[in-house]
Amino acid sequence: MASGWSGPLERVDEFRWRIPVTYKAGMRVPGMIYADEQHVDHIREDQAPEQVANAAFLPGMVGMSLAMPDIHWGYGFAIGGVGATLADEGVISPGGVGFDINCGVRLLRTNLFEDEVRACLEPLVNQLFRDIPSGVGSTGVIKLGKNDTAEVLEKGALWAVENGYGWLRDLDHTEERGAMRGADAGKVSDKAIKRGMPQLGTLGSGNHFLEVQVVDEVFDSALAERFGLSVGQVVVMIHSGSRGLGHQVCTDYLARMEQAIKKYGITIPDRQLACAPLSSPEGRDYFAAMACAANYAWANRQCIMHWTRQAFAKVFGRSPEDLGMELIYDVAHNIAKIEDHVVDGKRRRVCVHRKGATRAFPAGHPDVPADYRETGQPVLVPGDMGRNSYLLVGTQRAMEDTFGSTCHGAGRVMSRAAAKKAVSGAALQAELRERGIIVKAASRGALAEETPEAYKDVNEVVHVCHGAGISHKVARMRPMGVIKG
Amino acid sequence: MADARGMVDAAVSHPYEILEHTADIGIRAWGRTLEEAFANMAMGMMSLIIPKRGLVLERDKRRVEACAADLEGLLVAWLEEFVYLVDAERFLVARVEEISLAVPELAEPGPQPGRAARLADDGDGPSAGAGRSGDTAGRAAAGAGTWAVSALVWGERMDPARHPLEVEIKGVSYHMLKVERTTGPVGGRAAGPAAACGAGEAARGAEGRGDAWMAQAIFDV
Repeated sequence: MASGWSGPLERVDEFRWRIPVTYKAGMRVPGMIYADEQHVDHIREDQAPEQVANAAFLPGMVGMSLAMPDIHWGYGFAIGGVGATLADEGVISPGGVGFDINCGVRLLRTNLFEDEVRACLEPLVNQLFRDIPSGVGSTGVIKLGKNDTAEVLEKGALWAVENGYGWLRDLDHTEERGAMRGADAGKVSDKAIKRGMPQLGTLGSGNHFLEVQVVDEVFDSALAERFGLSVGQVVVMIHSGSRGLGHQVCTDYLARMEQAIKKYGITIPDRQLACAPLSSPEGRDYFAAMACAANYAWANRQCIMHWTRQAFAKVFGRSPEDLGMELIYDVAHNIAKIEDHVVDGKRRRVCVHRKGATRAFPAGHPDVPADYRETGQPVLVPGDMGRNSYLLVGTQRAMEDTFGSTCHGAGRVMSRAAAKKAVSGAALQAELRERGIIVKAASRGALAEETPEAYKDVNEVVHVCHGAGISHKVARMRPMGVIKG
Repeated sequence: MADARGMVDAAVSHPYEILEHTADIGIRAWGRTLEEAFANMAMGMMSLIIPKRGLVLERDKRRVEACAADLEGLLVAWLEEFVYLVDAERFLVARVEEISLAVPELAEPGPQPGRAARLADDGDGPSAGAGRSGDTAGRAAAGAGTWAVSALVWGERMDPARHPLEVEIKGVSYHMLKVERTTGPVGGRAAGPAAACGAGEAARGAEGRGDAWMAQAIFDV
């Protein structure tokens, strides 16, 4: 149903394409799409570039309305969209964050090598599938009352650690230390809390996953060594978000922003971009509620990681400490953050919306944890279950060009219905097994939707980010065992 | 409602279709009345969650209510209630029984203000009453007043052993959102089994004019 986009894309350099600010009356800044020549035509196949132009309408938008190379058609912002608005006079838009607030990724290492894990891969995958609730409608084993939930919303990953899920030092390797400032559970509706109460510690469905991966290529051995990684080593990647709680926060505030745009006389080309000044009651309340959802997501991934460590310990008969199961890092890729950036030569406080984009701060940045002050912030880029995932680091170039942001994944190219027509879940499972990848999924239909061919090749996406200098390749992983919802 | 059971029997025909979208998924539905179109949208959305809809039994009923400042916003708010039913209350819907829409202001005295009028009276918005939705739909654009919908739905609590769920719907977006009048073959398509029953009064309101309603929404999954 998507028709192609025929607007202007001016080539800036090998990896960047500009939508001029003159394209549509109302754009406050130009658009900028990261892509190589090979993929730019594909980006024109749907309306994602129009969404990049639409985001440029937001009051207070500065620099450029950006799209990372995993750009695809979303709603409001394109997926892969990055937009910064001035904190003092700009707006915040739930459509620039998305329904799954703080959908994100964490990566933990192990001391194990491929051969050791291959020998018990089947029992390991089964154990993980048993211990980590996944799939549509799944609920967790953590029983939360309403007050506990409010505590989760304000403490984030720390709540999980205090309740026995993981180690205190995990927080050092989590974006925002797993708890965003400004969270106020009073700004989260009862409906959102009710959706969140039974779901803490669940993976969810769709593109969320847990993968046992092996490092199959190292691009920068000095950096890889700093992360405790070498070729052949086994790692675990967890991709999940804020579950129903975050979805409801987005829903509640989209409705409130609908009223806000009338109240503040804001003109936007798409209702999904509804927004309010960051300094207004509506804007402040959304930020406080969004931070709660983000914290819930960090607690969620922290719990899932804890059970992952336990599952490895059961299967290998060694403690998680002995297995070296340290958290490398955890990133949010659907979020709005207040950050300082240089805009037109001046240091400004801005609200960076990252909707399907990852923060990529360079070495030396004060928000990068002490352990990584010299390497740059780790960036985790999951690919599809048949190809690869990446560990990158942030760069100074990202600070200068993309408000410290890079890609977040592969990006879909095929609709879910088309994917289901292309392959059956059972056939896909068998094909992946042939290639040494064991997949366990709660639903085979849902599995088919996630077939590798439904995604861009993450290798090409990362090639653009690395080439454009907005992140730097450290290591590439490939999947061995996959848990899908 | 004399024969409400036959109202929106999407298991027999398909008064809705799936809209393909790169990352997400949508539903487009038709109805001879706004109420039918809304009911068919809800059932279309349920069919994404559980394609084998026949597995959901009519064991229990719930009232679903929503309101919004305009008609399209009402569609989002209405569908969000079903997302919430599934996700928070773990309740799957098999059928929409009664459904009524209350529109903000009366364009002309409607023939069947019945339930809809009561609903408006109960609401806290500036609603003055209700009429045939078609007559006042144009007011949606003006955005005056509060639109409201109320329905009785049948279904049952989710049972993982019996209910293979395919898709988790995170939310209903405003992207490509539409509620509009339609004529011709599209409208005729909806006038299948739905015509046999009638969102009752409201259905008769549209009868004879040869027009119908189309609604669509994209869900984040």
